[in-house]
Amino acid sequence: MVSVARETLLTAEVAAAGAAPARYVTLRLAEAEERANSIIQTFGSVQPPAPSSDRLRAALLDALDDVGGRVERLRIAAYRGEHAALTRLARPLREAVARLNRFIPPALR
Amino acid sequence: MKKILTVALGILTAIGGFMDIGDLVTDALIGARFGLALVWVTVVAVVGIMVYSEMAGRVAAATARTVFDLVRERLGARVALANLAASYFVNALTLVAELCGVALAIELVTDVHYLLWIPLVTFMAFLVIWKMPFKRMERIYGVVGLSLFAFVVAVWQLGPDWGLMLHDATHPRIPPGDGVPQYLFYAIVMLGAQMTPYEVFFFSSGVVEHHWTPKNLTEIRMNNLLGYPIGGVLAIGIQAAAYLVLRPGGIEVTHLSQTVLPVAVALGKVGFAFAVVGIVAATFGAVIEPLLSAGYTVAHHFGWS
Repeated sequence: MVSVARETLLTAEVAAAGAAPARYVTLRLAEAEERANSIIQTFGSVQPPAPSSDRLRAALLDALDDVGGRVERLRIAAYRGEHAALTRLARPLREAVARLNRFIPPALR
Repeated sequence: MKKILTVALGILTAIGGFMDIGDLVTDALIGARFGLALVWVTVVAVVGIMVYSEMAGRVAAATARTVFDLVRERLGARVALANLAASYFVNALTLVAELCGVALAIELVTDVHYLLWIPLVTFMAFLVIWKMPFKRMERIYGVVGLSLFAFVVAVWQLGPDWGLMLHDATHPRIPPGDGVPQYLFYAIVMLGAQMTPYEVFFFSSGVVEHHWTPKNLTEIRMNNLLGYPIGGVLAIGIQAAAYLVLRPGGIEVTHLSQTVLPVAVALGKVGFAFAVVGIVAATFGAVIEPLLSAGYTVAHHFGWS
């Protein structure tokens, strides 16, 4: 999901700089959203090993949903041609990446 | 000019064979995941395919017969038929992948889903095979496919630390989170994507198509020495572009659309356009190659002229 978030940030930067056609930007964001949804579904379907894991599961799913929702909003804006708004909409993804990174061991970040 | 155009066969073989849909995505995937730690595989693939093609080209030039014809004569009809069936199967799988590749590349700049492009691309391939002379085919797709140099220009434009890049390429290191099995798996994946059998069949058939004889060994060698290294440079260019733009963000490559993202970052819309044109030409060339290769192998196996 960190990969999806960072890729979405990069796509938003490319769109804001006018460095790629609008069609490409919308396609990239739609693909990113598809991947985000697939990741959310995969993690959501994992059975927590013990009740003590429920909090961790809820926190992780919340962080994943946050990224998924933001990518979805970016995709909608891109389809509407609101490319100027993409950078602003993408900005919170940086915090979302930092939040997700807390679940990853430092050596693997 | 005529001398330059004689290397068109090698360029088309390398562009269509080396830079097919599998390689385009695999190079970006590997560049983003392993950096330049698998560049050596591309070097091995270039040398390997050059050796095979040189051998097939020499055999075809010396005997005016292709590899399949000689396999049947030397190994017998049954073994040759098994060889033919296996290569036909691989060609069929490759063809399906390449047709999807062209459609995916066109989808990058249109509002039409890639599955809807497949019938049109298939019909275009049929028209090209049926109507277009071989020489024109190899020149058009070979030359247009050179637009893929946008990836190499993008690497230069990104202003990398060349010394660090050379160090990373010559001192391969497995990134954290990956082990030796994953590293070797991707090495084999890349070797498989770059050293495809139809490149050799196609090159051998091209030599017969050109009516080259032992007097044309220089042309054969020029095609080998220029064509495949061009394919290798383009492959390394894609890996390096992904290494510079996607790897720092930990971005995993899963779609063809991600392959061109570094070019858009470095060169903007113009570079993006060149990259997409190059991808369409390369994948379309890779549609033509297995199609022709399949026809040639069957005809040569049964001794049809």
